[in-house]
Amino acid sequence: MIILDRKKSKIQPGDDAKFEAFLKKQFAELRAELDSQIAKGSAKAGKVVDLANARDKRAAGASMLGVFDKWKYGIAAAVIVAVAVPMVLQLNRQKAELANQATAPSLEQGHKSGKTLQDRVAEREEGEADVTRRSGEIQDNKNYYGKKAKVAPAKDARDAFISDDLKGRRDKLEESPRGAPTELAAGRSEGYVTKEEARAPEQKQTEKAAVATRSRDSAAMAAAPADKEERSVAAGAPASAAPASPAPAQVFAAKKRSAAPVAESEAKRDAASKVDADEAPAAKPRSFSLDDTNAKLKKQNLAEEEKAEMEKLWKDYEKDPKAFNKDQNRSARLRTLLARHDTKSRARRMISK
Amino acid sequence: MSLASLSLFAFAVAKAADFISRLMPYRERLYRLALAQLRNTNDAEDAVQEVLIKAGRNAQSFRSESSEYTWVVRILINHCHDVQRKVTRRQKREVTGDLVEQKSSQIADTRASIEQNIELSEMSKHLMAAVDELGQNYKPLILMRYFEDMSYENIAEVLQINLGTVKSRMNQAKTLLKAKLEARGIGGDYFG
Repeated sequence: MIILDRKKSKIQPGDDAKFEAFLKKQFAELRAELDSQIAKGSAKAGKVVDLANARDKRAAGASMLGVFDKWKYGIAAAVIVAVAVPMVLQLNRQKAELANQATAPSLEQGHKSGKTLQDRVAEREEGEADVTRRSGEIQDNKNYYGKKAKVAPAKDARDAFISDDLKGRRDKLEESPRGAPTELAAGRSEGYVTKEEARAPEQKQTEKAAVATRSRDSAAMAAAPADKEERSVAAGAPASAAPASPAPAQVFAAKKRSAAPVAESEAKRDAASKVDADEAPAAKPRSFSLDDTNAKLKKQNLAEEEKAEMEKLWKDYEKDPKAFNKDQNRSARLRTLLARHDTKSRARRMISK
Repeated sequence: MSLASLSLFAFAVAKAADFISRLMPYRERLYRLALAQLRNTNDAEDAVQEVLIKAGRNAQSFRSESSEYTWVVRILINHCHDVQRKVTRRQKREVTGDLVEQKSSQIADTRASIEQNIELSEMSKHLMAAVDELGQNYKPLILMRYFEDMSYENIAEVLQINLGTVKSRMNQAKTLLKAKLEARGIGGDYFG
């Protein structure tokens, strides 16, 4: 039974061919019916639209844009956009490049001016650095809400015409809290003393000394107006414009200070020309006097004498160095003199021997 | 957008437009196949439109290994599967709702719209109903083979399965269809 059932269930070749033909025929009919229905568009509940012709129909009152709502126009528009836009962009870019080439300096001009490519690159970098620096400065000064940076005051135009010494003095005055006016400071002569300088710590000592040497102070007072007049004339300003004359004690201290470096140097060079520092300012006038000239002459004479002595000692030394060295005083004197006046490196030779 | 990317975009647009223009002659056939699958004119129309748009978008991925029509049919069949799945899910949801009877009658009306929309012969109606009952595994095979007159090789390409698998599935589909038709009273008199 089971075998018979299996035989029944098997599809026979003839049956399959018949069923195949049936299916083909029925589906062909179905296709034809559907095609006819689609072509007629006679659907009841839902309208079967003929897609090929549906876009051509335009509703009453609709704009003409509906006519252009077609695949072909869409494709054409897309193609035009796809092709035209890059072309236009490319053309614009080429135009810009041409314009740049026309305005930019040509290579020949660069050759004529003798500038190499490196020079031009360096120039450009310098320009960029300058622009960057300026923009940085602008940015620094644009800090409206913060504390504004202090701008250094421009130096006076007179700076170009005054000497370095005067500049230094003026700067000192400007730095001091109660400095004298700049125009007055510029016209000061040598040895001029400001109030601040007179108020220096040395003033205390001089004031103590002033009590004891009142008589000398009175002499200094007598000299002060003359100095003042001299200064005002030198500056080309009226006497009334000059600063008030300092106190006698201050003038004395200032003179002492101005004379001090000269006195020190002279004391080092020569003990004979040593001048008493306390007495010198009072006795000496402000400008170089006859005393200074005499001191210089004295120095020169002394130096010549020393040189002659040195030569003499050197000759003795060259004759017999050992015997000369035995006398310690003479050899020490020769060394001292050589150290002062020697120009022939004899001291070195002496030491090496 | 740089010139190169713009050019690529323009090239892609041009290629898609060209591809869609080449598919235009197949539009009626696609619509017919979609109608046979979905059995609803509106759904079929929407399906064709969407399938053409999809084909245009994915024109870059078309490798010309198969014919354009085969490639679009594959897209259409996949799309019809999605649509039918959505419809089935919606039906199930509505059936489990409160208005079960009322809704089911409405669904029956809407899904049987092909009979209302298009006037078919009795035999064709039975045939479409039997094919519709085959399910997603066999229905496309029968439609492609007999409705579209496609060869086994093309069907294998569309469904991306082996030729032998196509033949065996076709055999099973025919057996099932035969049983369905016999159950509907269409038997030995027609193909016996």
